[in-house]
Amino acid sequence: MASIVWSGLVDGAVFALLALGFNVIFSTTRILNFAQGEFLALGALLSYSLTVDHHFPLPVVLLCVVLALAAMGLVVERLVVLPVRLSGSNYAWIIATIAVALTAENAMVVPFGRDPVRPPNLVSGNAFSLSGAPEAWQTVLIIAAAFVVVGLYESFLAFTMYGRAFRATAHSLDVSELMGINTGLVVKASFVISAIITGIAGVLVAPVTFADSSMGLRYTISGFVAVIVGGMGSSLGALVGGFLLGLVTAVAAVRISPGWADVIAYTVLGLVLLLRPSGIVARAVAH
Amino acid sequence: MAGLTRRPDWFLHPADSSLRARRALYVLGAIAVGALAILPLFQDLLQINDFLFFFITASTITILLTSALNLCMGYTGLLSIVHTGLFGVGAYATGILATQAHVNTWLSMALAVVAAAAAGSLIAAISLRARALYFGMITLTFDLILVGVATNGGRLTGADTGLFGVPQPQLFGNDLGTRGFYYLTLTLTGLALLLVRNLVRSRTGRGFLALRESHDTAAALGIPPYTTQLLAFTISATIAGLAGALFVTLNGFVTPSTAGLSAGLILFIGVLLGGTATVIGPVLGIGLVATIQHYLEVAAPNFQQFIFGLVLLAAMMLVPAGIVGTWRRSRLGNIEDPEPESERPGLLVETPAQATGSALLMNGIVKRFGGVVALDRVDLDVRVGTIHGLIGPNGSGKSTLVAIATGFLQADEGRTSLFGEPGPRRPHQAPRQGMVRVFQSPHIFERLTVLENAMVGLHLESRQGLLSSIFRLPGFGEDERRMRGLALGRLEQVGLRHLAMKSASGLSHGQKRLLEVARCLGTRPRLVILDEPATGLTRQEVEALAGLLRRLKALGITILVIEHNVPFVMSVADRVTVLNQGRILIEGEPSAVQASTEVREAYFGTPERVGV
Repeated sequence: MASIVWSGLVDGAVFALLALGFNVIFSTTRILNFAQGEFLALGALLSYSLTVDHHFPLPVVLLCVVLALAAMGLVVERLVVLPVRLSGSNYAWIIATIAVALTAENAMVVPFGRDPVRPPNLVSGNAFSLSGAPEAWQTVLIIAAAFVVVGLYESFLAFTMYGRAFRATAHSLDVSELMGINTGLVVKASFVISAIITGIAGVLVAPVTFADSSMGLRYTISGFVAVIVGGMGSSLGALVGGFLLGLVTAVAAVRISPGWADVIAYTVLGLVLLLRPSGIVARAVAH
Repeated sequence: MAGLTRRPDWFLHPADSSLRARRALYVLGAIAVGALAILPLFQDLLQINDFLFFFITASTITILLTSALNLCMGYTGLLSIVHTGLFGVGAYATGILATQAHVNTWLSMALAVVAAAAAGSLIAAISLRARALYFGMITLTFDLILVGVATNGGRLTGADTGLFGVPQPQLFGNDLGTRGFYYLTLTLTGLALLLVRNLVRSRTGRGFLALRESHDTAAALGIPPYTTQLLAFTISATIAGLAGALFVTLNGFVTPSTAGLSAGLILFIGVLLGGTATVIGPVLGIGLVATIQHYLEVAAPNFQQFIFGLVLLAAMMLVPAGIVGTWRRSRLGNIEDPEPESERPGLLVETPAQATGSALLMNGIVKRFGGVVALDRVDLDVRVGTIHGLIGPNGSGKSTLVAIATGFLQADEGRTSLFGEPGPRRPHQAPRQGMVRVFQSPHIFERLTVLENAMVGLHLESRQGLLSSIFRLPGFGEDERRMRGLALGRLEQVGLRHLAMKSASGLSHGQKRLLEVARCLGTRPRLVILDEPATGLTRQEVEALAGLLRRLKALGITILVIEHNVPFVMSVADRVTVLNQGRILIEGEPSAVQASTEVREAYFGTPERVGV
């Protein structure tokens, strides 16, 4: 049981990082980005390519991944925000982000191919054993990363000038603009930060699962469910939703049946939504 | 149906280029329909591949499903991410009944449509606890669950590989075949589009539109939000189920991915690219997208998605309102509909006012928000046939009191009675009891015309049933003409008749205010509550408003007006109640209230303190 819970926490940490990525963009734009998982896919595939194909040292790999994701964040921002601005429809963001997801997924086939790959762990060795099963340091790193990244993001919001601009924009874009905040820049920055956070999740998760160019949509859905259940606009909600989704899925997979795990997880989470329609950690921001 | 068969004047004698353009479109549409109808007869002559018919049939099924989504999302404003799931319910139910229970295929299809309708109403009944984006999210989890059930259904659903060998329906002992399916699908889809068109242009459809525009406003006019949206979703699910039943019998198979999210992308694209909340939008949108996809499959099989994604993004920037929406905004497409025929504009015969007694009586109302006591044992007695003013500084509890009177909030203690009966428990019950509310900032249905806005107010007056609207049964036309006449009469009453066919979004602030009053009069109110009606109006508009209130009073309507503009209230009100910090400060005739020192203190502070 302990090892099941542990694997649930590992998955949950990845979902939490995705959920945080969703939140960062949602808070400044009110857009739920269906292309969110593509950031994760790029992080995973690029880290494999640089490590295994090009034998770059880890710090260089990380630097390249961060730069590549920052660039992707800026491109996605233009591709999503421009059409949404031009179109008056309430639901324009759905098509724009879906279109970006399709394009990105297909574009990644060119450099990375379609075959699943699995890079080596970032840190080697096993940390400890749970019910006889060894648990790699990589898994500890993943779980720790979720907390560290959420902590860093919240500190950024709370203690820096730019963080305050973020919070102001999240509260009201129009008023922030009147107060002299360059909201266009804030929106761009939120895409970049969100892309980097989600890309890092990809770098971390690739060694424990497989990475392939079509992984984006799968993770988009999981992250989506995590963010809805946790509560949109809340970092704490991202952690709660992510870990809850990871745990329920892992326990259901082993205790009931691997096939039904997702169904059970979604049913449980659907019930949570019925009790608290705006998520467990509800914030007024999301209206 | 009458409107389709009798050609209106403009069709025979178009007055200008935009009417000629419209006529050309109608003719083009008729030619397209005719061409589709006779195309199979020339198959051999033109050497048309069977694939073309299959392609058109398959695309038409997608159009049918997209129209279902459009009814939900475009017309009613319900973001549904479970439509491929409902499509899957129709497909799987047909497949399971036909292959495993060996039920006749036609019967299987019919039962599957019922199953999809039932599944849809269940999903909506649960999901409607949440609104807007959250509603969409709950439907998303339902879709994931449906796909999961299909994937894990074992022999019943065929698990990952799905169901195969679903038999075609038979006609005179033979399988329907490609051409048979072609005609069946086109006929059913055409019929469904016609019925949806009829539905959205009726009392029920105006209820959908009103709920899309503003939940609270629609409720305040007597449209029950929950049951109306449940109805819209169930009808939409029925259509989606029909599309699924056609899909599985055409292809002979269904897999879990049919019900998945990825399969649903094209539906959203079809709705938005074609034009939301237009009947023809999904036809154009899906027609275009399916054709592009088909050619990309041949031309660039490896980069189909990439190119398709870029085409979508470009399309959003080039035709942001969708094909139909962009056309309507263009010079040729931008024409005002001529005022429809109606019976002579009439006025509603007012319910004879009961001469005395209380219209609205509130006793000992207490309302707490957390630790804050917003209302502390407030009494209010609005006498029949009077204009009653309710004033008080910001935060004094005026709006809370109105929200309780109209059923938007429940009081913690105290009783409300309306013309001697207990007050409404839900907002949409208020108009049935003779009370209607006009909101603080104008709550106009911006994307509807002025006339349509006024007609939404007649929701309770209209006698159109659902079936009579959908099938245009006798009686519908008569009722619709009567409603138009009444609505025009209401508009005339407030001086907006000349703007009837204009979009409501173009009205000035003051005109929106007047339109709201006209709209609320459609509910035959005995008591009208106006929340800060004079805010933001020019002086002339305030005077016009005062005149209007006096005219309404003369008709026997009781009025409660909540206001900041003290001179305005003092000029129109018979009695004034002053609320301060959740308590009644004073109640009496305007002159008495104006003279009261307590009121001055509440507004301006005590003189002694000013000096300190």
